[in-house]
Amino acid sequence: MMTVKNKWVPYLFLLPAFAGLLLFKLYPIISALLQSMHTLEFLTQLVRFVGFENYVSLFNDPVFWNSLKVTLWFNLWINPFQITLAFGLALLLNTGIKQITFFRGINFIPVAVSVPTAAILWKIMLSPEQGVVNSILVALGMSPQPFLESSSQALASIVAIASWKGVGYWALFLLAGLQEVSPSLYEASSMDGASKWQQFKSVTYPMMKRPLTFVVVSVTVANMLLFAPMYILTKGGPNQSTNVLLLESYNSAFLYSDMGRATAIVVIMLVITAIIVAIEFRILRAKH
Amino acid sequence: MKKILSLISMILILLLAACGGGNSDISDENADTDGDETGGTELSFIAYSNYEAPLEAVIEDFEAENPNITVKLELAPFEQLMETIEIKMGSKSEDVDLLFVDSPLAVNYALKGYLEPLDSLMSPDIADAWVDSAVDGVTFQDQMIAAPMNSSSQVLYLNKDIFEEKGVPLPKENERLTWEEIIEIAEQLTYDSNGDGQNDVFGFSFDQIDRAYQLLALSDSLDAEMVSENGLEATGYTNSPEAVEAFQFYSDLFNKYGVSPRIDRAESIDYFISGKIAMYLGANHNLPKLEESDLNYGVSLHPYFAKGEVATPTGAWNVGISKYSKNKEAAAKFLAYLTTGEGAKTVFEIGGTLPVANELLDFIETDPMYDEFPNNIIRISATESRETAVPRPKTPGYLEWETNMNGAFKNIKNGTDPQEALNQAASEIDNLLKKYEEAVE
Amino acid sequence: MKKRRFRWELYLIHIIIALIVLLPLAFALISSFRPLDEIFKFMSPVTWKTFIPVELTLEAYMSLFTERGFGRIIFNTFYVAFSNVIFGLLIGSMAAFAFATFRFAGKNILFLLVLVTFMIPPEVVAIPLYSLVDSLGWVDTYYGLIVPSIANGLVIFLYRQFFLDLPNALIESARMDGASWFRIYWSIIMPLSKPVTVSAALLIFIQQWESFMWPLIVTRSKEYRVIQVVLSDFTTEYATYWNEMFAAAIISVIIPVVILLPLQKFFVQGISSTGGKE
Repeated sequence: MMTVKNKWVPYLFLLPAFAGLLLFKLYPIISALLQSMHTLEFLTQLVRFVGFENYVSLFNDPVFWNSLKVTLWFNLWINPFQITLAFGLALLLNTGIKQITFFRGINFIPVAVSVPTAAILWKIMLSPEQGVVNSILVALGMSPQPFLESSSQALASIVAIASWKGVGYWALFLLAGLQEVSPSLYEASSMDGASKWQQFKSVTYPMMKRPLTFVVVSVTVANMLLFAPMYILTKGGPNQSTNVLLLESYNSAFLYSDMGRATAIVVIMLVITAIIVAIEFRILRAKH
Repeated sequence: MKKILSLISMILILLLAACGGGNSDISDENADTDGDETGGTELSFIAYSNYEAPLEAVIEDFEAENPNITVKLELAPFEQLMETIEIKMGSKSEDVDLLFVDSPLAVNYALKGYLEPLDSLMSPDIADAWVDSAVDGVTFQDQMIAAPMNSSSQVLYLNKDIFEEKGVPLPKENERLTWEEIIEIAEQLTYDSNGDGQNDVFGFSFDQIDRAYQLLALSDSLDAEMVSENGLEATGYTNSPEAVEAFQFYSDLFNKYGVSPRIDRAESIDYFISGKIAMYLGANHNLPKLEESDLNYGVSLHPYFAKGEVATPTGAWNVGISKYSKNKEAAAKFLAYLTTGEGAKTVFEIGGTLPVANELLDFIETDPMYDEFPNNIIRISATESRETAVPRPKTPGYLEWETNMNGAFKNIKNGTDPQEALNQAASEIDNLLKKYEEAVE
Repeated sequence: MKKRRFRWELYLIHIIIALIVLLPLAFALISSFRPLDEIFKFMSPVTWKTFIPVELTLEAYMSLFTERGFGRIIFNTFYVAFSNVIFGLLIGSMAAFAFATFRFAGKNILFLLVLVTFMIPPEVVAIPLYSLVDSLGWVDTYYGLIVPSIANGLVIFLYRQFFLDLPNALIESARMDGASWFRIYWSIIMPLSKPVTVSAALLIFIQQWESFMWPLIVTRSKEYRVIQVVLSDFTTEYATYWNEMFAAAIISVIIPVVILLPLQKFFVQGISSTGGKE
């Protein structure tokens, strides 16, 4: 880290990016967030300052508490699930079998599928009546499942769909990290007679902390902000079982004519995300 | 230091020049089309993308008659239309002149100040051009806030092959079955065609599964009001005994009789076309898609409950003028052209949707062209829209109501007790409608 | 990795994963060659007809390119994506260079702001952003499509992680030789960062390729339509054009894959360098 004589140098490097960030990201963010303390009056179109009224009414709203629960529950499952699978896939794709480039290529394909497209494709695949997956289940002698139509399976189905698209992407970041781990480290540890698991714990994992931090933080943020599958597939149902906070915020903004509520929800989400990310940074801090 | 400064400023300049250059090219192009040639007005019209063909045709004719006005369509897909309108109108953008207004949203848009009342902009007797129910839908505080463009109705489409295979007599074209009879017939037409132990042909399906637009016909047939007079209370209405009875029937279709497939609205017509549904209660609008397919189909009238009255769904697209528009006069001129006379005729002929202009409805009811199948489907729809159609509940919070009701319908389809689902929905709706209390006195 | 023997269990796992990954796409591919009224016909029960079109037609693809003007749409999407990649990489890497190299007042606050920019859902800022872009007169221009997304917090974050790992000695010796800071950034740091640049480019490209709501709102003319907007247009109020939707989905997958697959090797190296060498 350098201290420069001319103190303007760092700011000049930051200038172009911050010009863009300030104008097109931070200004809209701030003006949106200010709305969480305002309400728009009907007919007169006057904006009235209401302080924390939007937050207070959220805390008295069972729909909000349910959404908060669903969001935390969803993230509690999907983040470890995706990270574990991505790590496993990265390990698999790091093996020395001959056709590995081919298999790597295949796992990269879903990355190019946009979330709405993935959602619509899987919706048809998972259709409870004669969907392809159910047809396969029936052909295998199992009973058809309701998937997205049941409050006990809908959230899990969305976890699966999002992971179908996401795991390959995140695995590529981790795969890259794995390739950096010097083979000599493995050789040294196997000379000591370490088992595969000990090798993973003492060599692979510590060397992977940096890429893992990147992936863990990105996965967390991405999944906190994920609502397109719920919007397209379930609209938050059945029985509110997939009604994540961002979907509730989206509905408030665009269907319920209530921008104040929508932005208040987002502020709460931002606080939660920040806390989770801070914890993740701490846990994964590389020891230098 | 100087070097850095000059380099960075050079990059910034390059950046701006690159983008700015691209920009000026484009604005030059625009300037050519709207400014220089005519010196006239350009109107921007947010429309639902499915209406591109008829609207382009109307615009072409209109521009020929009014060389100093051009109309530019801004098309949004169905699922994103509301959102596009909310963002553009929410930012009070002046670049919107005309916008699509779904009938039940008219009040909400008016409350949010999106719409300019039309009474001062259009001739006072223009309302006589349209059917009363359509005009009523866009009237708020005794002012017309949008002009009706088209409408829709539902008929019962029948797969003749399935009826024949099961030896069930086909209902007649002018016959109106009761829901009780529908169940009876549907049970005979639901079966496993390939022997895998799962039913794959179903007796009956709605077109718009889980959507209030279509399912309201059930509660309307039992005369259940969905919201209070002032449109701010759902509890006691949405979950009234009549409503519960009506939607218990919806539940029974799937859960008790098993005559309807648990599919999604987007799949329903494809199931019918693929020969997996015997009776399909669908929009007059489905006609072109059915005609394109090889399906051997017939038609009958919309059902009703034996003890209730005849009620059919209706819903229309209307067009309103933005309050923030700078070209209200020109916009009103185009709006009158689009929704009456030649324009309305073009929308009907090219778009194939059901008109709301009395002139066209009279024509459909009398012209021999609509005597025979399949064109008689249009006549049936026209008649239904005038005689049996019941508009959707009038409330400023229609989207709040509909969003929660659609969710409740889905739960009911999947086996939730209707009373429970409706109670839940009603209390959530009430909560969301509170914010309108001050506005509606 | 010492002994190379045929590890059938690895192949088995790979093949199972490949099947799960490809199943819905295979279904989309097959359906895109079917006439509209046959798409749902053979879904149940599963037979050979489920996976092989009985009647093969290119109807969907023809309609995409003739009636829906898909050629122009693909051009637009690329134009927007590549402009974003080029400018985004430049200003993102410059900012990251500052964060990674210098000690300066307000650094932590500024970096926090960078993180916040990608923790906020874009839907919520759509209205103020639209007002802003409207007042700049950029509605319905490429400018409005491209400029707001150029400054990208995630890209700054990614570059910063990488630059943090570069040895300070490199920079110090260049300073001794009297190189300006911009020269160090441009001639020393960036050439060493080709791999991370490729991964950042992919990140931006994928983001733009998927962007949907903003392009829809900020443009009104058809000549500025991008691919995801068109993809959403196949579901109408009354029916869904499944075969065209599948065909468009297939195209929307194949194009980036064809572009990105050759970059695979680079990509892996790129990320590997951000993952710390101790």
